[in-house]
Amino acid sequence: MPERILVQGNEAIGWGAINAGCRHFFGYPITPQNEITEFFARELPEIGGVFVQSESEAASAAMLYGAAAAGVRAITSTSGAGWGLMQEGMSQLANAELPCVIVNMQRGGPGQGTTRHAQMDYLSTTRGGGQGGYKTIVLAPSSVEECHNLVQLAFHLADKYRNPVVVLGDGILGQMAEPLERSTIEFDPLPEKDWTIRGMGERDAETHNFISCGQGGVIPVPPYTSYGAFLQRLEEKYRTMSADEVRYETYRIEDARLLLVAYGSTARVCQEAVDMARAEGISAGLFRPISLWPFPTDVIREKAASGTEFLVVEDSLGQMVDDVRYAVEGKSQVHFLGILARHLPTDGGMILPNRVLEEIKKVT
Amino acid sequence: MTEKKELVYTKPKLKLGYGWGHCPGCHHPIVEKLVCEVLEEMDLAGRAVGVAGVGCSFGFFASINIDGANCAHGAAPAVATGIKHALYGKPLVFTIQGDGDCAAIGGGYVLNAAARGEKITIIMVNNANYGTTGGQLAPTTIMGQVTSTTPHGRNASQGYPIHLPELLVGMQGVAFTARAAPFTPAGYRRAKSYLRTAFQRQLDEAGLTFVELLSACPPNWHMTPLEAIQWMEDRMLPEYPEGIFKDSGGEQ
Amino acid sequence: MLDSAQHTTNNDLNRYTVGFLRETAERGERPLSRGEITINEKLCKGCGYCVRFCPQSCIAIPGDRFSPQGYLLAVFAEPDKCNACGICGWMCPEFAIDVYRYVEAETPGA
Repeated sequence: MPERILVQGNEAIGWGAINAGCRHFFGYPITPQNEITEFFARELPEIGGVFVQSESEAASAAMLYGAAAAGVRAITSTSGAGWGLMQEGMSQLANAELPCVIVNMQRGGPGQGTTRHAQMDYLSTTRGGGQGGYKTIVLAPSSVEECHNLVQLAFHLADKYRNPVVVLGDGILGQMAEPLERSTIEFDPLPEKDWTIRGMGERDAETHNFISCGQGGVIPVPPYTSYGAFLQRLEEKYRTMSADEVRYETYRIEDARLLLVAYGSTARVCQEAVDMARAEGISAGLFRPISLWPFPTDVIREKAASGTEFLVVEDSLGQMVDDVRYAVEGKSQVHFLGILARHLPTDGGMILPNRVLEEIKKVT
Repeated sequence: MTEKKELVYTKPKLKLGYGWGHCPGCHHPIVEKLVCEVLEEMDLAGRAVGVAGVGCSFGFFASINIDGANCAHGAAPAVATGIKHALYGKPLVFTIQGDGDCAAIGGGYVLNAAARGEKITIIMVNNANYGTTGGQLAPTTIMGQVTSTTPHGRNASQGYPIHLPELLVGMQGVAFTARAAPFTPAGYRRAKSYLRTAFQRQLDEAGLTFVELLSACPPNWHMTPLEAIQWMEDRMLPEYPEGIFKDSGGEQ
Repeated sequence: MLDSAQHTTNNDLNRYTVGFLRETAERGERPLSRGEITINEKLCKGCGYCVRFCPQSCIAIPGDRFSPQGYLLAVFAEPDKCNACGICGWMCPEFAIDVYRYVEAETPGA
């Protein structure tokens, strides 16, 4: 019988990784995700796993690179300035096509920012914050259970596409506690990794494997003997991911004339606001992207074409709203409620359901 | 009695193809040769995994037949840490890095891998400048040495050379540090001996091992290869003497 | 600083001497103190290390021979002096030099 426990989102991330078979964590302390680092430090040695506290987030990304190159499922987690430091590492992982999971529990930015929740890393996560332009699938949980489940999905997708996958949470999600039923999710089987570097003897091979982060360019060796060949592969990969890995959830959207668009902990707030609006007879609904990249552009485009208006609610100065505007293609109105609508100007302020309801009434 | 010829020396079996295009007189290919010969002689080719830093070492593992990777600038010791721990300590993991990769941008990685006592071997090829990018000042540039970013010669306002094997001696997690200059036959043999010891200490799980190997960089030093090795004898060896600076002898 | 001599264990370059002696003895051959090298003209970049370090001064860069890439070639100028020490092979960064040693073997049927 699956065990039900009451845990914080941060710890649920950890359980998700362990249930996905991950036994390697490399990470660095940063608020508000320290519970994740401490979870792995506690739990991994108990099950024969390895926990290494790195000397910086740049080093975390590099250790992840090595572990992924050696063929194991490896994970790191960070926030804020740590996420910033990892950008070069993300770019190198994307070029070397290494599967791994990176968790970013967002905090206020830019710079040292705050130590508390925000949703200000949407752009750098979905656009590829490091050099050269790359894409990683970005999954946004909005509950403790989703933290646990989406981490497992993240490992599967990372291995499926040989690409890093980001799980984008925030400080509220990490700290809040909800019941969780721990379980291992079954996914479609994946081919064995024949490209790893573990020592030829270990792989029973006569010829070496070589993993490069300068594929096709600085090092034009097989499989990509030219830069163009490598870029073609990336384009193919990103096109397939865009087509096959869109995920979202809808709440009371059937006859909605106004769709709230929100992700993560803000989506929980909006869910309550939708209920409050419906109770007053306003036909509002919630559209919650789960994959921030690939963004559910097509669904929003369809809705816009049929006259639905949108209210994007996010705890930032306006990042996801750009993706919604792009999808709407000017066919409908897109309203925005952002971080300046928090109930307090201090770093603990939140966009609360009342304030969202006020905005819903303003625009309908 | 008839006479016949026996082949007594040729390129190592682990070397794939020939050079991948280093400058005439560069000792990076000599480092490839040394690593190949040592791995063959110690029968470690099947167990070895290498990580090359950014610079003239970048193609190292494209051209030798052992599992390898290259990685971000300076990050090789951390990548090596990831590989070693992913495989629970089984493989022989080593890095090949330049002096800029290792001592400048990589300084924090080296220091912390050493502090953690990671069972990896770091091989730093020291040619006293940033070679790949055209000869800029590096941490190991010698006082008075002209580089493209010290056009009047390095002086005190641009800092002093860094000596990593000596620096790492005081760290408990470090088992072996040494420096050799394989530009002479005696230096070649010394380098080979130190690499063997460094790998052996890793297999003994004694701690981190570090070998610095001096290399010529004729085009960036604006010298012919023969002038370059003369400069190495006259100027580099006094600054960077050969020898073993720490050896824990296989104990932890 | 420790004495490097303590750590020169199993110097496997000895296989060209001690090991080589054993192998050839097993085959009934007697190694001679004469050798021969080949320098791959496509690979030589004229760095001069082989010239500089050959103890017998067998190799030279005459200045009138060029590789296909335009480098001044090193040539095996004094073959009679070569004793198969192998140092040129070690020193060449281009893997361009193969070293041979002459051995005396029983003529079959003799």
